[in-house]
Amino acid sequence: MAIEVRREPETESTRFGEKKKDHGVLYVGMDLGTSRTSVACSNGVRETVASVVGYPKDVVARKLLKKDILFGKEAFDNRLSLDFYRPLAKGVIKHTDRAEERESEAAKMNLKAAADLVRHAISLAQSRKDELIYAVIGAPAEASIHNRKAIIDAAKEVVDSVMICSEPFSVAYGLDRLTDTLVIDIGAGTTDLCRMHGTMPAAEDQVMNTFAGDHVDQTLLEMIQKKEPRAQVNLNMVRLWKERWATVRSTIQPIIVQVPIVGKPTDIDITNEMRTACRTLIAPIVDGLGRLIASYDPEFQDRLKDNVLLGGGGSQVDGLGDEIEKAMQEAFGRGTVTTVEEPIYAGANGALKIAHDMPEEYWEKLR
Amino acid sequence: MGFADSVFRLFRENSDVVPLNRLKKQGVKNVTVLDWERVQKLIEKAVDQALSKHRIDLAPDVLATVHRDAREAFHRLLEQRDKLEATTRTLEQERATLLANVDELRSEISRSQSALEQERQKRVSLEDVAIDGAKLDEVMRHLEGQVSGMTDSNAPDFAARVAGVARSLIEAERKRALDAAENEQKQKVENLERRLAKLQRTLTETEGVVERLKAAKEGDPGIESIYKSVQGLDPKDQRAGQKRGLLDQVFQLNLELRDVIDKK
Repeated sequence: MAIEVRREPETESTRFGEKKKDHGVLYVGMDLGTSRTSVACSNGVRETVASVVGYPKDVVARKLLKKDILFGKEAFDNRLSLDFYRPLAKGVIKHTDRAEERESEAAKMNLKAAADLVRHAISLAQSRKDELIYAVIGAPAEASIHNRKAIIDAAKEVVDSVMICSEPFSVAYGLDRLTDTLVIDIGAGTTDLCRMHGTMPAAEDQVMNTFAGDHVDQTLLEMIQKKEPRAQVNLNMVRLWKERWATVRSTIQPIIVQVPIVGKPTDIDITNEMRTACRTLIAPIVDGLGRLIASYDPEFQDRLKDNVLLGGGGSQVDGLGDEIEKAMQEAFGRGTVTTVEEPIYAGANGALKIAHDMPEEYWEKLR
Repeated sequence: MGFADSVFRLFRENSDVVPLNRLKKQGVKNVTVLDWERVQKLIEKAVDQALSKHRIDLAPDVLATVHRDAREAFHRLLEQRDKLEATTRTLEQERATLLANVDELRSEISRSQSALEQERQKRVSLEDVAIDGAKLDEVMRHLEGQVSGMTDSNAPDFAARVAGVARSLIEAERKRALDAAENEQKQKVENLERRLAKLQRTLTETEGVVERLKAAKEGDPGIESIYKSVQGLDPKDQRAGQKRGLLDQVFQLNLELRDVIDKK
């Protein structure tokens, strides 16, 4: 990302013993995802954390863990001692979508966990106290007002001004693909398809389905259980295998995993199951692309087909771009898919670029 | 230790060791290896790219010096990070220990306070004190001495006088015992008060140290942003007009969102 640096002379930073925010501006771009939350900042910091939050179950656990809240891997590793939350699902904060559920304890705790996660992600930026912090948070396109409010409220406690934008848009903005581009963002909960045509994408420019990372995990788990019913396998194990070996290629090295069967570690081959589970992503994507292409100006449809951007954690599935390209060529006669270079940070990088480009008066108005 | 050794040591310390057999079982046939020469070339390439971006053309000997300086700077940064992480870990451990101490002190203070309260509530009365056998013998000997000095033992009030002497002697002894018990309880209360004050002083001091450690950590200046002022779109950007339109829309959507949230 090429950004011009305009430096101004430093001024006195202390007034009445408190830090005055006149020593610089820290821009933070955040990708708040179901599976991972990533931040990219204008001080060079780039961090990613699994979107899980844990609170010690009791005094004993608190004393042992020496923390009130744990995040990411640390929370995951200690989940048995914690009230454990993965607050986002299918693109939104769990249990907050339906009005009748919003007052439930589960909804309140998931909202709190999501807010704590946002605050933690911003703390990863390692900002200076005397800098203004302006943040853009890429949230799922279908996040409700209730969800967006929770995100803004949490962020406002730790930043000076914050904006929310849709996740696929931030990916496209970050890569300067603003016209005649189809963005595929495969997350854990949802796969979002977005058509960029030079203006802000409207509802008809977006298609969402739930054939995403979590769906692959569930399918793979069911297939392994069917193949070897005695195998003791859970979703976390399957997720780790997927992160390591996900592929849709026809010819690959065998994927052998070790699982306990009646307590005895046993090697099982999950090559076909992995490939089949990962391939479940392709058809719904191509179907969604078809709908977005068909409803586009016919004169520019070929440009759209040749400009497909594949991002999100799911884009790391080996060979997925090639297979979507093949399926597009079969279905629509042509198709060129480019996989983003840094799937984990593409959304955060885009949000950072939006933050950088946003005029000062807009930040001020939203403070 | 040479630069290459230091870098390799750092890589080794931050790497996971996976036995080859396990990799084989997992079906891995090829392993990517990053050697020192490659790291060195990457640093030099980064320097070259930065110079070329700013259109700076350097003589070969100057360029070699810049490469060497970049390598050394990389080394220093790695070492600084190492030291900083070690210091942070130590501080975190100290803070954790101190926090555990604070918890223990608070429990101890709570126990001492309830013991003190119980002690203060106690009222020592004559019913609580007993005269021991030796004291009683002494009283009886004293009584015998008093009675033997009385000449007219058939006097009508003799029994009453003996009883009076006995009562006053016993009363005096009971009063002494009561005073002793009261003194003992007062002493206990004073000891408990002193202990409580000491525990509270220790707690205040420990909490102070914890706060100072926390402040030292918070006092960490963080990592400085590369921007000193708000940036905004680069007017030289070829798509500045289009981007400005998109940014306006992002802002408008956020403004509307805030209105909706405020009205709720």
